[in-house]
Amino acid sequence: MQPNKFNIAIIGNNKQWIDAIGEKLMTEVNITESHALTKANILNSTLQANSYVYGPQNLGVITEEKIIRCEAMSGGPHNLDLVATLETKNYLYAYKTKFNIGDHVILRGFEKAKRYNCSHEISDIITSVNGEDQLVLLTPFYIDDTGYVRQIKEQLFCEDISFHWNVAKVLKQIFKDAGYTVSSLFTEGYYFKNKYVLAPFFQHSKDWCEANSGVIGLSGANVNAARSIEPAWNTLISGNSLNFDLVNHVLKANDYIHFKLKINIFYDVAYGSTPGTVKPYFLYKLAGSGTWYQQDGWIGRVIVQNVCTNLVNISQKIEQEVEIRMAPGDEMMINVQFSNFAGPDTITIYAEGSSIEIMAQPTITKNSTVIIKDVLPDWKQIDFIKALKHLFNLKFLTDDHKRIVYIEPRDSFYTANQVDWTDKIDFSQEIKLEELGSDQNKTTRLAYIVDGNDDYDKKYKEKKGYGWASESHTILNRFAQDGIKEIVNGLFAATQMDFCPYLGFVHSTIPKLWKELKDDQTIPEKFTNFIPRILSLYPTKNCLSGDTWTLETEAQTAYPYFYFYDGSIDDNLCFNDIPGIGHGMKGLLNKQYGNYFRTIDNSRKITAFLNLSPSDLQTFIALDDRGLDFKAKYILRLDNETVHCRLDSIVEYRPGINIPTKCVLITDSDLPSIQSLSEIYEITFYNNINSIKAGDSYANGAIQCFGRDWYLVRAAAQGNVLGGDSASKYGIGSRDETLNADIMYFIERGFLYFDTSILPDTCNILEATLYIGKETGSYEMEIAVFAGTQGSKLSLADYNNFGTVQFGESTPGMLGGRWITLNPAGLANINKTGWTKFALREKHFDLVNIPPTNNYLPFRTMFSGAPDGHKIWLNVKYKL
Amino acid sequence: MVDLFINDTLIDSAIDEPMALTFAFDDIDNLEQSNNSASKSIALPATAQVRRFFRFAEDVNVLNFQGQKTDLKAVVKEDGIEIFSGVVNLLSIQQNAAQ
Repeated sequence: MQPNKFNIAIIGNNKQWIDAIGEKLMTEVNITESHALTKANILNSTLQANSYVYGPQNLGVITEEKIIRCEAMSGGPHNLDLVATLETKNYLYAYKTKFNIGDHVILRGFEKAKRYNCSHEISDIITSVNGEDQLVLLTPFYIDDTGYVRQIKEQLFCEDISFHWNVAKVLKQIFKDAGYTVSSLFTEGYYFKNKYVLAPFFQHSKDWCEANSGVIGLSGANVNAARSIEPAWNTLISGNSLNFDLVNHVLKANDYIHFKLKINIFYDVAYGSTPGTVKPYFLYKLAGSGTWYQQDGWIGRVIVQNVCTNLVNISQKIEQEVEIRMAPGDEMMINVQFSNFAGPDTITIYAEGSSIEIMAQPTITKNSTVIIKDVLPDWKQIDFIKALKHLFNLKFLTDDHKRIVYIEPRDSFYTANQVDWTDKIDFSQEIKLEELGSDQNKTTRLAYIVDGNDDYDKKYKEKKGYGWASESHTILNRFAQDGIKEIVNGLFAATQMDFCPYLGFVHSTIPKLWKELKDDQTIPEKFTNFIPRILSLYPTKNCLSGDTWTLETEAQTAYPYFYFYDGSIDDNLCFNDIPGIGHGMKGLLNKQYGNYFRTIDNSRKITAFLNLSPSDLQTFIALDDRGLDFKAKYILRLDNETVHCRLDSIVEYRPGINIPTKCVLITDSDLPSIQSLSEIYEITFYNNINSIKAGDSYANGAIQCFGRDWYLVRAAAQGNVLGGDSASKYGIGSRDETLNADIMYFIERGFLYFDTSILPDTCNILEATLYIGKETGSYEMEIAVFAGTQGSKLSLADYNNFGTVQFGESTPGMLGGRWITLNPAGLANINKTGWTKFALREKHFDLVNIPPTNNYLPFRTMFSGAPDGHKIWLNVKYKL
Repeated sequence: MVDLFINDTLIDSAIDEPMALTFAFDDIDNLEQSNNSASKSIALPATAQVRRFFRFAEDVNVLNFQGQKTDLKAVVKEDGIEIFSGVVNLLSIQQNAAQ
């Protein structure tokens, strides 16, 4: 047979990114950026151009410890110390200790001596050989009434803190993975770039857990006379033995891992004719350098519950589960001991029925390295994009040829460009006018998901019938149908902001992810699970009014400030307006949906047939640089009236056939954009968060050069000394000093950097001010600012390497702040994608090459580790 | 005049039925209904060039014919002006029983 026809289908490119993204999961986003869960990374995460930031949050899992014994330990009539013994903790306490000397704790549960049900200060902590902690507590001073011990002020530990991932970076990468770049003033703007997602289940993947888990078997053995045996665990039964040394029979972690171990021993007791009692134990012992770690003895000894008494030749099976945390390279022996076993008889352990099941837990323990994509939630990427579309009313348009997807909120999507299509109208065919409201409900409500874990959210919904932070709009168009249409975000719930005294935020607020206090509670319950939140970030905010929060024993006076709404910043992610706070924060409905609803209320749909040519359509394939495509305004003159429209669609254009094409247009009733593109934004960057010492890997500090010839000192290829810490040991200056009757000249030059990558790549910088505090220094010592060229680590060779164009200078005066307004060259030097660097020179001698004739005190500032009010900052004002 | 290029090759076959191209915003809320620049199926007469282009896909014994495992790039030009670009899927081959 011969073929007659080949049937083909052709599909437009601009559907392809939707298809490419549609079925992919967030865990497939190609962000291989990795980071270790360490204290330093948590504190510095906002300073880097990372995809993540850690913020203080009430996500801890251990809130109180059960007391198994409590005794009075001293004899004074008015001064009685208590010793509270806590139940055995089945983890290596070296990695996570919840109590510290000086903490205050609440005891609960005293029935006869109720006066001890109160707050106590911990004066000592004694760790016993059995892994039990004893807290020595000072005299009580506050009455409470309930059976556990817990801290009044919780400190956060690395494991308690989840990361927030940056929306803009993940969005950009999703499109990049699909082969497209995003063009968007909105997503490149600060407003969008500071949006982050906090989702539960910050944990290792199932694959990771499986790769680190396995079941290990042993060789049979007779228990020796010491009643203690280290079984020969030497057989891999299933899974992997990555974390077990089969030769030396020890658990050997290859990473920072939280394990659950399930140990089974099947044994025979040979007692002969005299009955006896067997108490089996499992013992865990950490190996030290070359020898088993003996200093603290066993790190855990757990008594198996099924004590066997009056045994005569009987087979027994014992089983135990424990949890431990280990670091890479840690080795742990697991021993079995049988006590209270008299006589010369033997105990035989059998291989069959004996095993260790090693179950790696998904917990991201302190120091664990995680890859961003591995800890993103199992959402479809397209659902993430849809959720953002819903919040910000985004519109998408694709340029097939350039592989660019244009994304803007509806209000800033359209341009002012005009295209007059009046001459193309086929007036011989019907021009149909329809009301847009006819397919709408009278009321449209925009809402977040109601989080059932959030008591306030749940009760609000029960009382009002809709979730808080939602907002409705009543359609004015009389053709709208009765009823309410609720459009709920697909992924996110709303977040209240609240004080959290329990964590140290008495006057400062953080996103409220804890339950409402019940009558008998002083500490709120934490969420164990919650609907993901979207939040804005103000990179680093000082705690208010002396508030501090504690991260692993160290008090913090600043924190990455995540917020859902904040009047002082005038940023509100609620759909509703919040009047009376700050400037009266507009919600997302009024901010992003104003013209959308105005269009439904006032606009009409026009369906007409137009004589379109190939060149008319070409602009929709390769989008016109002039914006004469869907973004333009289309003009039709109908019945001597000029009608301004938006083009909705061109329907079934038939190439090669000269017939009019159906076009759908919407009359334009937009008001000028509420969120004007000319709006001016402002952000302040701080340079000196990291502490710097000579040789540290930071790009700020000072370099000093000295010698007897001024001109050689000034032109030296490198300096002699590097420094510039919070003690202001070095600064910016020029001086002479008499040493052994000779004049010695000193020149000091300063260097700064700011991570300015958060600035939108396409923003127009209007103004920038560099603030430097003059801590000490002679009246004559002032500074001139140039471009820095130092690398990521300041070196002596940077002494004479910097830009030649001056950006500004300080004015002579007394000690205090210097505000230096950068000139246009200085503005151009600000790096929107990385670090902005500056070099600082003393301006009266070094800059103009005049040898100083006095032993001036240099202009000293705090390059790093400066307290509030002394930090160096760069303020940038810009518009999109 | 309408020209169809598949993988940069001009297909000399006249297209029996007119294509219908629709242009609209990318609609990510209605994936299944997304119709942006999508066309319906088109029947290409089985000229020698078309058969050669598809590497004689009508022969059931032919393995790895054109378009079987890889996407084919499609460009439609009208009067020399590109008005469409996308991909081509070979849906079926209609046999002429009389021959």
